[in-house]
Amino acid sequence: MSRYTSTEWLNRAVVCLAVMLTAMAVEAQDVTRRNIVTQVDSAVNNINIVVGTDTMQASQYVEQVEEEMKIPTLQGFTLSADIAGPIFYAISKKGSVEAALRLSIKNQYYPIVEVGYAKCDHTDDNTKIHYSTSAPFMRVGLDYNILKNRRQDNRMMVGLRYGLSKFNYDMSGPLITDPIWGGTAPFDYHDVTSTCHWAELVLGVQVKILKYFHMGWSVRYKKELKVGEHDHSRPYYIPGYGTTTNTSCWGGTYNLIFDLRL
Amino acid sequence: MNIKPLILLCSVSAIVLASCSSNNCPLENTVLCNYYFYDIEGNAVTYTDTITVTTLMPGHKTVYVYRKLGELTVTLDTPDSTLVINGYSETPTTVRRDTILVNQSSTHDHIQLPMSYFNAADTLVFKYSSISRNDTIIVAHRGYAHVELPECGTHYFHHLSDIEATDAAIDHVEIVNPLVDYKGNENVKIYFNGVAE
Repeated sequence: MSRYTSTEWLNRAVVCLAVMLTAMAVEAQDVTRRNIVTQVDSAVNNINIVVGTDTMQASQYVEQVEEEMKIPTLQGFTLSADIAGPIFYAISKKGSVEAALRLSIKNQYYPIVEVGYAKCDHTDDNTKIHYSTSAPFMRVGLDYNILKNRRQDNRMMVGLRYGLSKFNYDMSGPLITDPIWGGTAPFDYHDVTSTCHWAELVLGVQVKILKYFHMGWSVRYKKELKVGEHDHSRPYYIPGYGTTTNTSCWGGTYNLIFDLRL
Repeated sequence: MNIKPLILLCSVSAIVLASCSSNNCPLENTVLCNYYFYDIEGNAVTYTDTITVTTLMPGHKTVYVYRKLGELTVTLDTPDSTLVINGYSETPTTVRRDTILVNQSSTHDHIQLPMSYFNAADTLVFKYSSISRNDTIIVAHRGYAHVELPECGTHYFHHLSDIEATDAAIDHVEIVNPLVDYKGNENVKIYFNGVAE
């Protein structure tokens, strides 16, 4: 059984818009690159290079040299910030700010550390149960660039993350009444401590937009590993993970990325 | 413009849209303690006698006891002048309040009973149609409110700590699962006298 509020639909519309904007950027870059390659190919085919007494076509020479060129191990760092989280918080009172530091190894492997601060302030319309938390979180993991041409500026990543957050939350609700024996008691808990661990499977795209800047998105499948819960409640929202409606969920980021090339 | 990447990416976004925030509240969300019936040798039995279960409530009430030599004693919540006219003696008495939890249940292999939220122990009186004596079961427990998700509301769970029973029809009782929640697990075994045929 699924039910969405208007806010949740708005969240999804924002995600959809972000994905489509990136897709258009990818397509625009792809068209530009194809045009340049076509021009270079037509030019190169008309050039003969003389080496000693041999003559060879430039296009063949370039392919051989490219294969032999080694990509240096350490390519640099990228610093990125998620710009979707604050928008989500403004819309739904559940969101985060987060930044990531990613190391580039041969433009193929990207060890990454993500840190952030998430906030949730939620009251259910029907039950009037209120939940709030605000706490930092971190993730560590590795991305892998699946594009064959690792020299190009765009990247398509698959990756894994381990997430951790230790946080306090407040949960309160209406008075509880015993329907048979009678009596009432409050439901009001403050500063309940919980530690949660989770794993994420990441698929992401990064597109170069300026000399040192990329923009991209990531879609994440998240799975709870361990959730610190108590007799009276379990956390409704885990910073960095999201809502715990199920033991797994989907999430995403929309990132502005700054390249620090070595 | 190549349409394939757009189709792929829109498919991904559709998955994102459809995945989260489903309502995951339990369909069976009534918290009841489950008492299952066994014979003295531990075989599961279907108890065919009619059982009525009442529980003691906080506070007291006045009842009217009518006695007459050679007749059964009658106890009523309200005075009955016709019994006095017929020769019964009327004695108002103060007793603990009670309420019926299960009324004349029969042919069941288990019985489900609610638990008090704030009392340290519940007193359950089992009345049998074929036995003149009653059994009393006293269940000690700790109750606590539990919220699984805000949209699911508050439920009151219990942790059973001790149980004892009288021996009219019951041989003994034991706790098999101390957590009483809405999952419907067996919590208490009631072993009745005798062996199932």
